[in-house]
Amino acid sequence: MASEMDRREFLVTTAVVGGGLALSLTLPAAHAAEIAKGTLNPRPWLPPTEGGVEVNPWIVIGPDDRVLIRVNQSDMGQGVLTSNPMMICEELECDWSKVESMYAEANRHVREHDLYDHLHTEASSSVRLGRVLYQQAGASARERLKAAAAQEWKVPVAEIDAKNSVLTHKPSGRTLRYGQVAAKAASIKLDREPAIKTPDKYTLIGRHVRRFDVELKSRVQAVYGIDVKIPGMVYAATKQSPAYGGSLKSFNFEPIRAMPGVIAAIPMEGIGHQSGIAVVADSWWRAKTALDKLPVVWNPGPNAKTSTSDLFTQYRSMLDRKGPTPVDQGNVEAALSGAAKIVEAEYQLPHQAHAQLEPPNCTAQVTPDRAEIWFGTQFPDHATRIAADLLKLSTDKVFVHNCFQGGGFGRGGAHGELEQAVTIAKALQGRPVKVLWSREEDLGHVNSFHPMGVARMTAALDKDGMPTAIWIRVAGNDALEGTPLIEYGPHKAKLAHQLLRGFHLFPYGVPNLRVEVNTMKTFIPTSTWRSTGTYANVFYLESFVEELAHAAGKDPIAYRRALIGAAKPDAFEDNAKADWLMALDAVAAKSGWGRPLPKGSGMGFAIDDRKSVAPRGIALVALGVTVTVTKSGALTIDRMDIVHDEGHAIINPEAAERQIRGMMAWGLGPVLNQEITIKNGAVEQTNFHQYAPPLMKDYPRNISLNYIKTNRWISGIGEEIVPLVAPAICNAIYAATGKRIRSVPLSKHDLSWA
Amino acid sequence: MVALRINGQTHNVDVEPNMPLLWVLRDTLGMTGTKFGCGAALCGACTVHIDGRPMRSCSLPVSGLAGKEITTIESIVADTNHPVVVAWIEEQVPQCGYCQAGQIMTATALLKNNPKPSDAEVDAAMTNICRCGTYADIRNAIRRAAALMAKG
Repeated sequence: MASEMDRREFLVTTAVVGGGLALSLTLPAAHAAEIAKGTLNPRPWLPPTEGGVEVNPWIVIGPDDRVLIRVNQSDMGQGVLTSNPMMICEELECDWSKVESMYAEANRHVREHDLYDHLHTEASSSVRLGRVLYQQAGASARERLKAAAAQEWKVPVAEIDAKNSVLTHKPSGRTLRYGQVAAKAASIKLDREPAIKTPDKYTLIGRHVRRFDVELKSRVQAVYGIDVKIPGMVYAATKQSPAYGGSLKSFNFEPIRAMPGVIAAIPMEGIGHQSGIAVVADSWWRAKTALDKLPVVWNPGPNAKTSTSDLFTQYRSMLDRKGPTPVDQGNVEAALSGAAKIVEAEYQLPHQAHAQLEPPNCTAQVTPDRAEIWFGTQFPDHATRIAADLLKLSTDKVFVHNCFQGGGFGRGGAHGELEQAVTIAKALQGRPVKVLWSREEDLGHVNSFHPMGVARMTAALDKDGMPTAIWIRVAGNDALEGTPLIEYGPHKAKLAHQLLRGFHLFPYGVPNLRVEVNTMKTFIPTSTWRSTGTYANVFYLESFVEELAHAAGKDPIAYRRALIGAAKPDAFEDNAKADWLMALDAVAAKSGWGRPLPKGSGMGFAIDDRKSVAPRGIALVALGVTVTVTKSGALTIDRMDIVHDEGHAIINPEAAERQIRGMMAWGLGPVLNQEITIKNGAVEQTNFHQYAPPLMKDYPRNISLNYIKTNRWISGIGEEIVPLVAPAICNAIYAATGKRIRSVPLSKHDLSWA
Repeated sequence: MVALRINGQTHNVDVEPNMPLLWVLRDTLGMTGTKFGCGAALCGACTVHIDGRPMRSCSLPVSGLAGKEITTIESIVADTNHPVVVAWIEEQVPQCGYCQAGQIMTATALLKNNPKPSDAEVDAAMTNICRCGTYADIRNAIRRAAALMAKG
């Protein structure tokens, strides 16, 4: 294969920040040796090899020293089936080439009282929630292997070294392989758990490791939920009430009864978000064809006259009255009345869908005392409980087999398709059935849209153009529907915490600050969507701060620098003020800020740290975007310069780089074309011609990725920089054209200039 | 009964003439490498080659395919050293991986007709949706595959 130099030539630039800044180099100079791949079953809920001894619930060691690691999170492309085992291997000191992985079993997790601590994957949590668990599991197993060898040789354990799957008695040079003592190790109880390694001791973590699933996926061996085939299986196509809140009134099976392959029509009431109807047939296409011909009457329900414009009107009306005020510092009114200049701007963001490429599907087989379920899910534990509740079975009789998943992005399963599949499977009395949604059904019933929202931002500027007051009013739906509202701030404001996210600790120092947060639930179900609440608030704030800089006639980087400098140290989580400045300086340097650009080109920025109202760590991210807009309004993204916090360590930079590049595409979608709108209570967009994700032609050719080193474990690396894409692009468009864009997608705006 | 020529073999399938090729492949013949993404020829997950041209099998009724040479991803990956597949692995392209069979089919057809595509030609040919955003890696893989093919 080609040398590393060849590789680098093809990769988008992976640069490193340096020079006079207090930033450290991140990529080891010689990371050329990508380490050998491990093994994974194409059905990741099964082990690649049977047998071996369970040393602890995470680790099985075979007689041939093979180490099987059970992973408690779902791999949607972020690489946890590889990077989570790396965290164990780091401590276990086993031969990486003998490592295999598989998904931890949901049934056992639930049966044994959350054996694996957590079995869900969300909010960039794999390292944040898993690192200590995985390191501890590896360290514990290593010490037990050493203790087993000590017993075998009747020597003190301190005389034994563990390295590369071999135990060595240092004084005598005798050796045993892990596989030879695994059974004995499994029965050993340690007096106390060993300490885990600190980052400076890592030898595997931080290396560029090839992901186990890449070859399976490139050779199309990976089994996704949609690919599962069970003997005797039939197929169901389903349709839910088009309008949210509507319900199935009646249907007539007779016209489709004789169609080829048709088996049954099964109403599905009282499950999930929407009642609906399923047609079962011997192939999915036959089921879908019959479903399209099935006469169905819907009760329209209470929302059948409501459209997106009505909802925006309601939200915008909330901006005209005082709302719950979680942040209230100084005297905003006084500052406004004494202002040299007042800047006010309103921003608006529509609903978004995930549109993961694998349409929702779930295969189920239900008998009176057992349920087997196959699908790709971010929540196999919740799925187990949901199915048990619906079937009135105890959870120990429910077996969820987590499949490869064609994209998660926060939608990730345990949604309507699961509820439908078990309902239909129960009706079919033991016959396995695969429920598969059409794309139209998926976009119409995401079950968890990203919420729409609006904001009014007002600032009082002094004669030098610096803000003396900032006043923010936002209104929107909770991005985590079902989460209780919190009470926050001096007035105990009741609100959805994702709507406050990022404003609760305000990075721009201003003497008078007020934040009002209006939470209004609508009939559109909402939930996590890659970046969740940060997405909206970063768009509002990072657009507005550049608006202020321009109103003041100042350089937006220098303006931010002054404002961050003016903020009190306690305005930052984890004492991160210096890191904010470091990230800002880095993005300015890497994007070449200050260099002359031709007319029609411009540069824009955004910065954030991903903080949450309930603190759970931060990651400094900054983005510089350079665009060119033709006079007729055609947009080209010339470059994206990314600055990302790496904190103490990134487990597998090989996967992390790809996550970051992926986040650029995810962030581009809502900017360019994507928008979910409601008409008469139903989603208007039916397929990818109306909800159009970015294509290769939209993806910039010049992207630089630059890590900054900070002294923390970062919050994650799966969604941190998504929210920066929209404001950075809109700021760049302003710089290029003088047009301020305060809502996306851009397809609704005329960018032409003269 | 429809006779289909798939990957060099003839399959007689007993399906309705308007059944799309995608569902014959997946549900009738059990060839699940070709993926369903939209059902409307919009995303490219179901791309196959019809007489060497990339086509979206979700929108191709089998009645129109008599006498045509159909190539699916299974035929491409059967060659374990296929340069496009090797390039995909070397560049570590897949994330969720669901779109990649279609991406590989589109790229394979592109390189067959245009062994040295320019950047613009790659972008114009590659109209398959990837929600994970692997576009930069796909570009790298296509360039690598072209180099591998040129070496022979």
